[in-house]
Amino acid sequence: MFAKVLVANRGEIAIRVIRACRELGVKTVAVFSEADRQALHPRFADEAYCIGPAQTARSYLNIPNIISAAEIAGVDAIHPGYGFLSENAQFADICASHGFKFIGPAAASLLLMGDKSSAKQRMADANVPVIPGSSIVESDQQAKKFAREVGFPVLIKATAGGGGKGMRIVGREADLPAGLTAASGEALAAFGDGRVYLEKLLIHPRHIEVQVLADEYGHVIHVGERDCSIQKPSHQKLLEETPAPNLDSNLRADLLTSAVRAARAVEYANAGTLEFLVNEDGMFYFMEMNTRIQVEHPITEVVYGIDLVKWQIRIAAGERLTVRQEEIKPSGHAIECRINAEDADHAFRPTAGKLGSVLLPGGPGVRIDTHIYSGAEVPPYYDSLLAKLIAHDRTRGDTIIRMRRALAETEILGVATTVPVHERILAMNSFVEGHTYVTWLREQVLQPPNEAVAAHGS
Amino acid sequence: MAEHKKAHTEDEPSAFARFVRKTVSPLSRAFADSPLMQLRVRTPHGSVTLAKAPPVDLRVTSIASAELTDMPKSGHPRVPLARVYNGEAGRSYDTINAEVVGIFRDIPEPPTTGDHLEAGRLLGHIEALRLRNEVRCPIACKLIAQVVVDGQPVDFGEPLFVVDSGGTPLPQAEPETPVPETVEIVEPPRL
Repeated sequence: MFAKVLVANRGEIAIRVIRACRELGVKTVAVFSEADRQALHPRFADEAYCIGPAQTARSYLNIPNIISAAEIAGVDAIHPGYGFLSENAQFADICASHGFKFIGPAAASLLLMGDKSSAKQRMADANVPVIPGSSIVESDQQAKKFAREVGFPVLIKATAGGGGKGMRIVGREADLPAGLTAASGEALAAFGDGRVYLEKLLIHPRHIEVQVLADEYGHVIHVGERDCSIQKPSHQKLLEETPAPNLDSNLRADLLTSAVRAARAVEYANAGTLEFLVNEDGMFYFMEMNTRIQVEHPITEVVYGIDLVKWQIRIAAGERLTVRQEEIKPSGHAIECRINAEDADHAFRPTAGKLGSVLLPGGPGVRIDTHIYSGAEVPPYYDSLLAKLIAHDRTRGDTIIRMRRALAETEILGVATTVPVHERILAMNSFVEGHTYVTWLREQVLQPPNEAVAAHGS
Repeated sequence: MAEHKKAHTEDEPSAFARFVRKTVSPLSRAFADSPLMQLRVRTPHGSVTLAKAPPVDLRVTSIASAELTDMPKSGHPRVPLARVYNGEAGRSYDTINAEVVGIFRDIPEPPTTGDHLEAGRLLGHIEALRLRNEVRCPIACKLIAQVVVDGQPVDFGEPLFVVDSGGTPLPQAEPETPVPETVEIVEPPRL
């Protein structure tokens, strides 16, 4: 096991990693920016180094200062948390060349999965379904043939695309030639490249992801799935739960085994997550792999009774994964609400400032992962996550009731938070019945159907 | 430790080595994972006591803001800083701070207290990643004190020298970006 680990992150995840290290008997080194002088993570660690001014490019992304702090402190390994440098293959390489173990997968895995098209190709090669896409459209005939094969609706996308430019949804064959002409023209104007391709369009898909753990000796297990369909319009997750509600048991088994197969195919080591879109017709498609610990990992931890962060550290230290797949059994249900410093009524605009009174919930089955306290400063430079509120109970219904209770106990003064929008979500019948999808929050909660109709009618 | 020695003197060295390999090593691994703080095991071949260091003080006992503002660092000063930069009554001095994280190194002829330093004068180095980063005097001033010693680890923003610039504020290496009233995140990272 490592003697000392540097945590190259801030906020709740830095504290989460420090806690895991402390329980493993590993000394910790925190790094912090000038804006985080009063933050908790430098105080929870055994040592702490200021690595730069508030701006992330000069502090939490400042590789020379982080490596220099690691050398001064004499650490064995660096845990990158999530975000920042966690999926940066160059950073993983630099860590290795300075003799620090990067607590995460090999740099090659970061590189492979960081490139979406190469990741998709490798997954397709491993028999993991990917969203069917055509080659570059050369003729209307070729486009029609592809669309007939995968079924309408289809999405026309520009190869040089981004920001929705050159994108068209086509619902029926008759509209395809006109759609291709329009999308291609738009792409040419926007990117100077008129090439387009087709993709099968998923209607109201769910975002379901699978947690995997793999050691450096080829032993791979999954630790169940998480339903992360409740997303902000920016596609950022807001509420996650496990097990996924209303998921056919055969489909679940397929998803889980596909994820393990995928991780094996790329010789993945450490903790990772495979994200899938699950269509209404019960088909699922690989979207991307996250090669790091995820924000929502605690729901898996409480339902499966496994400490994912400790396993990340153990695996990186060269230990064998001693948990067998048969031992992975869910116990009850868990929901996580991300409490962000954001104003949900104004497009989730981040809010910053000095916090007033902070009262966080507790009691049976409630876990809080946070870095805030009464009077703490919320700097405007970083992610707006303030706290992760996790409720765990025997059934999904009981967990929803427990989460409502926990949200009601939560008081965070001084900034706008996502507590009210979570209360609205948990009060929705379609949420309670488990009928949600990736655009559900926007369509059903933020802009309820009757208002949407009114807006379109004008 | 004492019991280790006892076992060693009572038995053959090879028997002790076997005892360590077969009993102590597996035991210490199991002990590391257990919540026990101390474990004593006696066997016919020897006895051993395993103990864990007591938990480290978390240092979160007080978060009163008045105390915090007085803390120059994160609560972990590795070397106590000379508290000279408040200076004589009614007078405030400037500090020349570390721009990188590294080990401070004196130059062969370091400046001494009371020296008049011209702008651009080399004052020392910060060694980081086998590179020597120069610390230079940003403005003509008088050296009040050097508050780091050769070989001392320094982090970003740590005061190295206290100087008197005669009322002229030291030029900032790079002006701090003002905090915008509302922060627009164009494409937030998906975590």
